[in-house]
Amino acid sequence: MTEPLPPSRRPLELEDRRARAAADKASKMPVAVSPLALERWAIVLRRHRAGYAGYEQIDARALALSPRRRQADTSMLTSLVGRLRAFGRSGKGGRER
Amino acid sequence: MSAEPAHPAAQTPPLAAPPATDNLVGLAMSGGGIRSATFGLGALQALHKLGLLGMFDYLSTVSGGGFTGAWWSAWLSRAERQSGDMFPEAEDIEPSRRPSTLLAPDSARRPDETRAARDPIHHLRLFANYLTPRRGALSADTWRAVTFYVRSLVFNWLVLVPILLVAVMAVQLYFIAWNPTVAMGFACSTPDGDDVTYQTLWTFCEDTGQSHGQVLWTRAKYAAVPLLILMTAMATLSILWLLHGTSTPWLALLGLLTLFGFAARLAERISPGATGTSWLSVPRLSLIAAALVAAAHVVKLVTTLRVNGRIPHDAHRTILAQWTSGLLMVTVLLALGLAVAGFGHEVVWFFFYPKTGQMWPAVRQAGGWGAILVAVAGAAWTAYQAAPSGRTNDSAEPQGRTTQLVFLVAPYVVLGVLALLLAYAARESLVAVAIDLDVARMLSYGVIAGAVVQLVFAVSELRRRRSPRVNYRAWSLVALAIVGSGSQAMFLSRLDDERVTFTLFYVGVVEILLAVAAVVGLGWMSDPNGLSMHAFYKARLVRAYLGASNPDRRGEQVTDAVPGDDVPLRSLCNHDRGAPYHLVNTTLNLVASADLATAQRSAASFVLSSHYCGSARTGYRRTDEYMGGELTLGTAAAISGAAASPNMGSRTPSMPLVLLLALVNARLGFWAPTPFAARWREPLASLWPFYLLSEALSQTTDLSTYCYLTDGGHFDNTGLYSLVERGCRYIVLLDCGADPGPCFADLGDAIRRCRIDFGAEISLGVQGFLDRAPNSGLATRHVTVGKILYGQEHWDQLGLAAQSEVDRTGVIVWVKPAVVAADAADVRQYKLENPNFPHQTTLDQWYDEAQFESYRKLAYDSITSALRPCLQPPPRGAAHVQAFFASLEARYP
Repeated sequence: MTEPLPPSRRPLELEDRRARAAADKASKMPVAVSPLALERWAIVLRRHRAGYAGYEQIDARALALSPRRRQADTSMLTSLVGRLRAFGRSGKGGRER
Repeated sequence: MSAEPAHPAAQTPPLAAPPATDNLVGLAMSGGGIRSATFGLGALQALHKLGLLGMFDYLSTVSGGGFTGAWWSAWLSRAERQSGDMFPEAEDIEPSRRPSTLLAPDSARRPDETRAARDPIHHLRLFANYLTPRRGALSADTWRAVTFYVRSLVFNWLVLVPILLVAVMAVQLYFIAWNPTVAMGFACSTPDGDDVTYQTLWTFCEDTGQSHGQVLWTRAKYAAVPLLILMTAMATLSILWLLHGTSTPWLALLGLLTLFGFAARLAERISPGATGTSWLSVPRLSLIAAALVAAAHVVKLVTTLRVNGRIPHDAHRTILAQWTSGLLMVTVLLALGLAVAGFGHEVVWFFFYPKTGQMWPAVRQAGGWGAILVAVAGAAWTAYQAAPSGRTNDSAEPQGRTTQLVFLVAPYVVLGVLALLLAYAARESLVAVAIDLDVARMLSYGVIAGAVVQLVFAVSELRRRRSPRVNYRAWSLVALAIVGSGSQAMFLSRLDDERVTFTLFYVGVVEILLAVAAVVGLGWMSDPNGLSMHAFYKARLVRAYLGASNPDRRGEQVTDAVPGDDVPLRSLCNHDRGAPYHLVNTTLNLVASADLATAQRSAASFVLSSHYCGSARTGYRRTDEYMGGELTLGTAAAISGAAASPNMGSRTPSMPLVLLLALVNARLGFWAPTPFAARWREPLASLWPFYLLSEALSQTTDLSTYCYLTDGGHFDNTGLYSLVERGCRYIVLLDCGADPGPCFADLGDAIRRCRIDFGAEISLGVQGFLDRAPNSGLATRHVTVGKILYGQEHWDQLGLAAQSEVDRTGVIVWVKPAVVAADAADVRQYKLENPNFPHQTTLDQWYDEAQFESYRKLAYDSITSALRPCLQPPPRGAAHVQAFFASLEARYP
């Protein structure tokens, strides 16, 4: 015998998700690559580099995750110039950044 | 709101996950400050020596474990690393320490032989005292720390004090705005009419003809008016609540209304016009309040759908109960505000303006100074206890009786003294300006100038951003600027009005507007992370741990920060070196979250890593775009180790202590953009006082534009949670939280949460770490091995195949700092000299050489002796890993 549904025919919830639903509606989350997929490709590459048996040949997509060599630059000048550019872009385009 | 530009990744086809692997190996390095960092260093050295570092797929670090984890990740990511570089080789000391110097003639010694070594491991040894490596009262390091703290504290107080003054003055306006008798009494009354305050005010006020006691009584009655009205409204709600349960509601209502009308009439006859005017009498205002409440309820009654043709009485009783509790909260807060704002200065007078020449006034004065001294000492002790990597991180670490007492009493004493002094200062400033109209005019011009500046800020904000929340904030500023400048124009035109109440009221408004303008102006000059202790803590961690592998640091003084020490998080390439993928665990604070799902924890896991950042609560973003790609490894490590913060996830203290921690700027947490919110690419938030108040009032949620991140230990201090979440079959856990008991609090929390959230059952025998050797009283083992049985649903969601429970069963190797009889002589000696070793307090972040080497050596020997017998021959691969852990399981059941 099945339990009758409540009159509203909605499942019971233990939390009020109205605020979250509003925020979710406003957000546009890119979902092209899942975090788990990124991690697993990184691990495939890791095992290849570490010389794991069975990982001698790997998919090119794992190699694509190898970070591009670029010098770390955290200088204030770069940061300032970046902000000024961003300010100009938002003023011209009027788009959300 | 205009549409957000399409994310580049969203335009490309989704990258499918590679075939799932069910033999993931994780290494967890727990929190515990410098103790955990040093133990972790020794453990990594041993694992490298045994050739086991290449076995790990994940490195999950928390707090102090993250110091060493970040040090290793930074070393791996430097451009000069070659393929196959996994870990720094043996430590290299300064050339001058080598025996070869004995062979060289003294004149042949080169200057560079005496400078610090260029080795990353030796760098850590030199920075064992990482907060202030150069000790002494005249050390530049010490004074830089003092300078940073004092500067940040002053800036915070420049914002907090005006905000608190505004709150007090807003309530004081009630005492000076409407009733001339009360206003004169508030501005001109004195304790006994024989001190300096009275003399100054006499030229401004007219003689009210009342004694000080009469003035106080009049003001007390006046303060009671809004409270009485609110209580009437609450009584009405209670009556309505009662009526929903009775069988004859309309008859009962008629009777109650008759009774209420009679009581109101009687009250009016007995005490007509308590507020000074006949219409605005207390009974009539109370009646109006009761009528409003009743009308609101009738509207609710009419608009609510009936269930099966009947009024849903239970639902309406719940609504009325909610309204009542809301009104009760407002009444209590208002009562506190009226008491402090209306009578705070009287308390200060009581202590500090007594008649001279008598014993009792001297005792009162001594009591006043005593209260202030206790408040200052309590605040200082709290700041000390909550210093970077304070003991708040270790739940198992016992606190002394003094600390417990201070944490219990100090917040109330400090806040009480502060409230009284603020009330006194607000009242003094009101009166002082009101008696000098030239000063009042100047302040008005200041408000108008401030309004213009705010308009500029608001227009700038509107031009930059288009999210609704930011627009709302900017338009509020515009409205505030218009109201402020308009009111001042009107004030200036009527300033010569002779009425004291008018002058006092507008002086109050001027000062409030000026304080708001100052807060807004200062608020736009920095971001919320710039003036907390996060910046200092991060700088010290970066130079000590990340600077160890910075090739550009070579020509510099060893303790100075050097550009290039820090590394962008997106550029970490551990996996490209064959090293584990680094997960930096932090805590997402949800103290103000309305969700019942997080009501008990008040926190969730938030992971920072090279490829993505985020939490299951907020979604995830690619690290190269999140915060504009500016998030650095140093920032991540500092957030992960932000032990002392007003909000501490599951361990958030009481409200007064939260306020006190904010007041003393014990704030190591970080405001980061919420991944799903509109401003997720922007690294810095504007108007930092808003975030400061959010911390002080515990208003941290995952729905705001910026979320508050603190020490990963505020959710899980072991790092185990993230590894179980990812389905690691084999886990090595370095559990270094202070646990002198031992009581295994961190591990217990982690096991419980893994079971609740993932259905994973972790079986570990704790008896092995409780047993003591009969004669020495020392521990009997370094390592215990147990099992992890993953839930079928969790395993399925990860895409892992399992035919039976065996396929879902993993192995966990639990390593805990413990001294056994077979340990090295110097480690045993250190234990004899320091009985709490290896669980010394986390408050001690200033390690010396002996302490550093003892922890490092203990870890090195623990790992080596435990794992060496189980080593398996190559080739490295899944079978190799499986055989190794099976051997461990067999050896340490």
